[in-house]
Amino acid sequence: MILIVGGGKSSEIAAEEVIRQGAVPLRLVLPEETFSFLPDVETVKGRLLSFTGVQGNFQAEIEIDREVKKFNVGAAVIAVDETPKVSDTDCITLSSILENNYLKCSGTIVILLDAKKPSRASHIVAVEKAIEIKDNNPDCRIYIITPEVRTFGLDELEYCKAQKKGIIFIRAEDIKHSSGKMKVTDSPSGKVLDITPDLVITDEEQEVKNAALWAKAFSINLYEDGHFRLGNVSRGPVTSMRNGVFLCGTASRALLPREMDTSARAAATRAVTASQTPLMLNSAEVDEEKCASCMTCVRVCLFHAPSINEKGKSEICRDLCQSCGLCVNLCPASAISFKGVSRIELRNAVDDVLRCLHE
Amino acid sequence: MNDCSILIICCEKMKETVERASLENSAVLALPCLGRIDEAVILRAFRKGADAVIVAGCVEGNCKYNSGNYQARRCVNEVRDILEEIGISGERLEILNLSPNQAVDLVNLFENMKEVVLRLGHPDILGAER
Repeated sequence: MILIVGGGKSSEIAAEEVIRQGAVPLRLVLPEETFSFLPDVETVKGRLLSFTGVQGNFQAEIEIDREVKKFNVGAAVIAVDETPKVSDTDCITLSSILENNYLKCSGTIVILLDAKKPSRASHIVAVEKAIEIKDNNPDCRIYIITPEVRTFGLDELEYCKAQKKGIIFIRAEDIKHSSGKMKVTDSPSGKVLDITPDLVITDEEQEVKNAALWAKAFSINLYEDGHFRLGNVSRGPVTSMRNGVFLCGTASRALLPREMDTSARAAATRAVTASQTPLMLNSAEVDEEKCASCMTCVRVCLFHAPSINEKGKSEICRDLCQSCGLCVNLCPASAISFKGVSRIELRNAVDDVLRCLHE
Repeated sequence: MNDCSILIICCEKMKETVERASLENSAVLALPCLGRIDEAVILRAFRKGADAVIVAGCVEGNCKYNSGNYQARRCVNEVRDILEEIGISGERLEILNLSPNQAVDLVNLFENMKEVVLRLGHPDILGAER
């Protein structure tokens, strides 16, 4: 069984792909979250209390309607998508023009693309929508104000088309907007332009909702911008820093819809493969008598494996330890040992290889 | 001097690359990750008669465990200071950020290291076993 977290579009694609690969998906969404109904996929509403075990053999404790249920899962896919942050301004946003029909608007329309963490597709959506509005009503004037037009690949053709149709792009970093008037400084020429818009459309800042909550439950890390931290390059794509937990869609970075699709399929495929290849790693062990509770291991471990137990000593969680040996090296009291590379074993290994060389 | 001995310390991921390079007069010590390396390991190697030590880890930012190669670099810099202090040239210790398909980098460094050892001779360590 593969645990898929999140109710967005990428979770649908991931669940679909898991079924296609012959495994059973279990979708978990938070009680307050909205999600789309999928007939073949079991979807539970609940909170993840703990996620223990190793790749191929995880135990997930999920609270469903104040009842704790245990599930055995082989791997997990985190498919929590970015959602637009609720803004405090009453401007019309890009996502609302996708839902509602604003094709009849006229006069001067300004599309302002200067959100700090926009979705990757926002510029393309803006350009396409602008063309649509212009086609419907050739008399209106449309300005797209942005520091940089980020249309990628073949979407550059749309950008070109928009310019030919008379949509005006202004590259501006300094934008002042107050009481129906706008003052923008065109950065290439340095000229100040005054615009009186009839309609302002803005793009929204995106956020991954409840990322901290999920990260804590899965013992994985977050980036500073609130996305889930991807595993390092050598772990391969769509991984997290924990074995058997995969990230897909916009959970880890801003992606185009097409890329989201691909990453969801990739994560599902990797999860199915991982669930069939259980991983047993050695774990570092702590000599409690030597441990000085200095918290060095707790601080250096990226996998959240060491913690201080109720005795006030360090304890390393077997499930989370990835046996890299960093804590063994850095422990000032040399209280942590690790089968195969403890201090004495390593010393003997050095002696042995050099003796072989000299003989 | 043909009997120079060079120890290559690498992580599990680089083991295959290093071994496939099959360098003469070299010994390979593979650790799970270079984050495990500490000063004692490198100094022990010199004490046990290594003429030079090469620490070969992954490309920066590429460590599976995130910081093993940075940790190794810090450690190597520290040991170099210790070596200088006890009268052994710091040139005898080198760290290399290797990528698995770039064994040529290792071979080049190894040849340079051999020249260094030929130039400097065996390190003068009291009680070193050879």
